[in-house]
Amino acid sequence: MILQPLVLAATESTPHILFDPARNIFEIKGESRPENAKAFYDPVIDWVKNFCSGVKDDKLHPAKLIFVINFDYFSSSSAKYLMNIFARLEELHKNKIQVEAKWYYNEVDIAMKESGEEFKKLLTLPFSFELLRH
Amino acid sequence: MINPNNFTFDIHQKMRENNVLLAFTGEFDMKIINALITSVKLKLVEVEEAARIQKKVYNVMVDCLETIFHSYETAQRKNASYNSFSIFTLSRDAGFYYLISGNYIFNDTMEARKKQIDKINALNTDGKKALFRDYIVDDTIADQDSDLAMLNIAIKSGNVLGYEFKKVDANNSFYIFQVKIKIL
Repeated sequence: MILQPLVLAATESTPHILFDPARNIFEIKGESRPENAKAFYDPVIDWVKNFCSGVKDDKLHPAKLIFVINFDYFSSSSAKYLMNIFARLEELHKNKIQVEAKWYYNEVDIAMKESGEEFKKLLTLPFSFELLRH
Repeated sequence: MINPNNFTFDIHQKMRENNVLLAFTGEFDMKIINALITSVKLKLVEVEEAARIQKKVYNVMVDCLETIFHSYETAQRKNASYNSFSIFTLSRDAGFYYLISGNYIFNDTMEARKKQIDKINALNTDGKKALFRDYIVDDTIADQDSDLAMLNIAIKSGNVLGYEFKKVDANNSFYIFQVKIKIL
């Protein structure tokens, strides 16, 4: 399966995204409060959709996929799209592909950890939490 | 007309008396929102020692600004004549930070807004979180992004959301939305 990596540089209001299957890196970092969440996230969701169907069709079993989420802030409209990504990764997990979400939060931002816990409640996808010191 | 010098002095005095840390009035576009967010980040470092409170105020403020932005985007889609002149203030006293926004709202949408806030205020923390989870898995429940943002503000602030509508004319009211964050 040849799928170009998805590389989006961070801006003041949008996160850095790097989804690179060849290097097994899947990460989203920074601020996510795009002016138009749909316009920003639709291409990301499309990429994830293609990636997931490629993995399922090829019956590839890549090394454990770790999805790193390390937000400073994400808007509530971003949350809906994030959920969409998680749901697709959960499908892989249900297809016996090893996937884990690694949710980073700063020690001064307990709300960020709680947000991750809310996603965890909605999913069967394995979640782990990583504390960042301020 | 009020003497502009007196008016400016009065505003300045009132802002000092009420410990206003930041105030902006005008149209909120993304450039303004980004500039305000940067200013508040710096201001909070200066006035607030507790990093947890800094972060909490910052998070809620971003949600508040997004709410203003989305609500007038929605209003403008409905009616191009919508008046988008809005206000946002951040102030504090010994016990709380106060984040207050004000923007015009069409009178025919006022009831729905009241119901939306009352519904959120009636829920306890677990209820709010459960509703948030419902919103993010089902696009059809939340009418718009502002529903979700409002709920997020209530969860993060940990306080009841305050609101008031000041009738302006037959079609418009000025909607004041207040969030309090306790200083620990």
